[in-house]
Amino acid sequence: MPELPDDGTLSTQILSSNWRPSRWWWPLVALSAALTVLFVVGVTLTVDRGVGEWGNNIPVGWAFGITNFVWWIGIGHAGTFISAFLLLLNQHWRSSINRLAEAMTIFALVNASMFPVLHLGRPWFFYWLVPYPSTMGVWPNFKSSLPWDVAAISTYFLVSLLFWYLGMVPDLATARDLAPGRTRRRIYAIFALGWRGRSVEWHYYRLVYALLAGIATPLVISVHSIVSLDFAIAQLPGWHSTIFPPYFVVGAIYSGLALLLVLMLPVRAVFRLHNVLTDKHLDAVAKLTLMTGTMLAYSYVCEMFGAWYSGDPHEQFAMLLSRPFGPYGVLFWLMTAFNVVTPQIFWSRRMRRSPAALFIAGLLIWVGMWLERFVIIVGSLSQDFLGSSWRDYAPTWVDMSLLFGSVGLFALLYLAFLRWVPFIPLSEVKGQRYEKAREPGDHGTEPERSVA
Amino acid sequence: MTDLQLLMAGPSASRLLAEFQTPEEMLSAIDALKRESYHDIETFTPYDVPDVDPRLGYRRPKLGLISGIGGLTGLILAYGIQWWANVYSYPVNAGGRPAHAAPAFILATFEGTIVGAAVSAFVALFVWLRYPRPWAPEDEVEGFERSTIDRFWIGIPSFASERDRDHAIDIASRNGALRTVKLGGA
Amino acid sequence: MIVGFWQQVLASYLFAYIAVLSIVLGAMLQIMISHLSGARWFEGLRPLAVRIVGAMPFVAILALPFLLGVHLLYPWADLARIPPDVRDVVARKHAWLNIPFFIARGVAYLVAWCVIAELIRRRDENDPSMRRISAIGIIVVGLTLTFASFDWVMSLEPSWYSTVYGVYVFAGGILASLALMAFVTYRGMPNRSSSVDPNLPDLRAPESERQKASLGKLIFTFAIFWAYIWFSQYIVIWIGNLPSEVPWYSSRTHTGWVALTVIAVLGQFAIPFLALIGYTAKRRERVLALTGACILFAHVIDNFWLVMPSVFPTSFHVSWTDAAAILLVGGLTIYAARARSAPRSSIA
Repeated sequence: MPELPDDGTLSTQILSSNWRPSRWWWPLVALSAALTVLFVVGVTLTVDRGVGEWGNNIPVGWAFGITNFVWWIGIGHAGTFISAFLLLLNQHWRSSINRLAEAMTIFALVNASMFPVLHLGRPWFFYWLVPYPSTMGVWPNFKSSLPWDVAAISTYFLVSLLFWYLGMVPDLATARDLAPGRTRRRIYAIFALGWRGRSVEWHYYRLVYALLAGIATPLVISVHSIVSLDFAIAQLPGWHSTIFPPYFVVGAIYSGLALLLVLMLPVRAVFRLHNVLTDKHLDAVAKLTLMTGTMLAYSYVCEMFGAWYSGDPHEQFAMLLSRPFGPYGVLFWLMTAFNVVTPQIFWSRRMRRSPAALFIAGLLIWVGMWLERFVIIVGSLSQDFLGSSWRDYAPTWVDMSLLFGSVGLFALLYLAFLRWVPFIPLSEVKGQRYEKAREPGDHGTEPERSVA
Repeated sequence: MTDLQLLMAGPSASRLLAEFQTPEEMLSAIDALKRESYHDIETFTPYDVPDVDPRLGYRRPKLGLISGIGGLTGLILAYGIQWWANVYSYPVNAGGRPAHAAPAFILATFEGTIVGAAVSAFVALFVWLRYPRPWAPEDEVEGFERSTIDRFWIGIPSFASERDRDHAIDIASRNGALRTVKLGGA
Repeated sequence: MIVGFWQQVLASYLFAYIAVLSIVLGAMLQIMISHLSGARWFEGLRPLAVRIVGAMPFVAILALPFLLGVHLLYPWADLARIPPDVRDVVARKHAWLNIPFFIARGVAYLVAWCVIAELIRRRDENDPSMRRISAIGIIVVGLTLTFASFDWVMSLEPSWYSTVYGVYVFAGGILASLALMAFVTYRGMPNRSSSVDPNLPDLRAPESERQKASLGKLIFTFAIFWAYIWFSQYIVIWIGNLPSEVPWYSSRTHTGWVALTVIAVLGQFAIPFLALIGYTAKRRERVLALTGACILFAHVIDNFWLVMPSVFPTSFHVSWTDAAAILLVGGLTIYAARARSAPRSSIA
């Protein structure tokens, strides 16, 4: 493992990317901005002309909009999982990637929260979902999962933001102290709140950070469980299944890990962070991906078996005939290939450490998870109980621009983050190095030996 | 120092600062100072050095209690709002489910608990640390900002006499201090 | 519904068997997970876990009585015993729920578990092949445990199913095996206050302190996980209100059986949660031992709750055979675990 330079050089190395953008930055920003413009066009048309601009119909009332929502929320979960859950498990290798992961969460949530509002039909009335004493005397129906969604996503956004920001404060202070130029220093100083690394500051900070991590972990699980209940509380074949909450949570973390690979590898290459984002980190993320992918495959098995075992002709049709061989059969098989087959390459140590393999696998899984949500949602809706109600779904270009545009918006926000915010947790990396120097060989639970 | 003393002490106004290049030297200086009965010490480090806390005698703050109360408040509010809305104010027959659907209410209540716990912890931190603190007396020291980069500082806020302060300077220098700085009035 | 004597005996035996089996498999999974995660804190508990796993072949033999009594215990064995309104649905499952295939599957599960158990027992913990074995073993045990729970417990009510059932039994098993390890390791010990400052991260604590803290945290976490899976199954079925699914819960919440529901949830979730939420509480020997005992008791009740209301859906029913079964199966397993663990350490 490459040796880390001393604290001063390390600080300069890592923070310098915040003062001088790399040559990739402007072209990527231009591309993302173009996609974001497409997104804005899609949003404007949807709000101005209505949801009829989408391909949704009866019975397929939920399609791209909700697929995108579930996909983006799921992606967000991996960030919190890596940051919070791995902190609780004393997995110290997490400290190099956690801010990259948490930023992914925040921006994924920004994207995700737009879609439920857009699909409302009259999105300007979105505030009716919040329980306030209205002049009409009506309230949201808390026996439905949609108000649960409102509670869950707003909570998740707030807590993730607090957690992400709090983690950054020491590094914003370092940025404040290293940045060239008074304006830059002033801005960082505002956000650094006056952090000076005092013992009393670390004393309280460490505790609140750990507590927020402890709170964020059940939050992740509850949020995506509530999202899964959007489907499971219905009686639709293929939706009403008791394994949905844990199944969706696992799938969410899986999709987020995949996107993290896609983000982490270029960042590592462009900013030359091989001494901070080492092979061990890649290996660990790959193993987590394999683990969650296997758990997802297990869920697929339970679902399929359950559908057959139920003896219910509608369930059997939906899961065993309609999905694999129906109008969206191609998507089903692509989904299986991407989600179940792709991660199997990570049984090999070489593959776990190969940036190309990781990047491609990440892309495939990321797309595969979108396909999974689409197959679940549109697959079950387009062919439900009554044959005369069946109807196919096809997306419109507005749907497409919202999907690809949301990717562009995410990229734009992420690039802004990479440009202006310290994206490697500097103080944690330094602290890690100190710990290792003090007690060689005792790293808690670092994966060291290989399987291959 | 107990939490109360820490809180009452307010923003520290160190009268003596000593700069060190490595955490080990800083720690040995703290030990030496403590042996000479200087107990009112604080440090400034670029990262969390775990060995500092036991030497400075900090005790674990009652964060769990604060967060627990915040969480409980969130729980009661969340359940209360749902109960008021769906049971008391305007009960609606939604698919035959009971008006007071406790299993359904649990989910949003859980989220409310989490918000309460998280926000109360965050606010508590700001209160404890008196944030934001744009200025502190230490900032006047040239090069002090390296406390967040690669230097380790010790600060002692008050002395009984000038002789004590000079003695402290002596100890710090003998333990590897790069320099010592006197702050504030006599 | 008239329940014959042998049916009662077999039902009691089944509940006791599942309660014990899930603990043994839970310990097996613990060991394999620790190999993959490189968890150092588990090293002190590993010998105990291996002893528990060592009883697996014996536990496999103990499956014989109910495997032989399939035609008596399971309603689907004779379609005439199924109420007419769901007979069609159950008949459609005949390809899976027929006696020869059922027994063959059962044997396959038991063989797989014995093989993995012996691999764990005979290999040294530092053997590099253990990582590969653990990775495959977890998948195998996960799948076989799931299908065993579908077959042996879920099919007691053949018109009902739940896709998360396997995860539920798994969660209960892991929680109970952790509780057993905590109870056995720390029972009889007084509370010693931690000799290490609680501000420090666990890495710096001596081995035993770290083990206590990690065990406490894991029990806390898995108690929450168990409750999460319990609720996940409950909310979907409760809110969907489908006539094919609801009877399983209505017999467990609207009859005398509700008392067991409450006890199981209190003992496996509420009490461990409150007992272990405090920072220092997780690290106290007596708290760990007592919480472990509480969870073990609730685990037995939980498995009773899984099995019996399917046999006696309308009212609470307990029989001397229940107590006898748990004492018999539990006692024999403990004896087997002890007997198998003795000579190994003397091999130098």
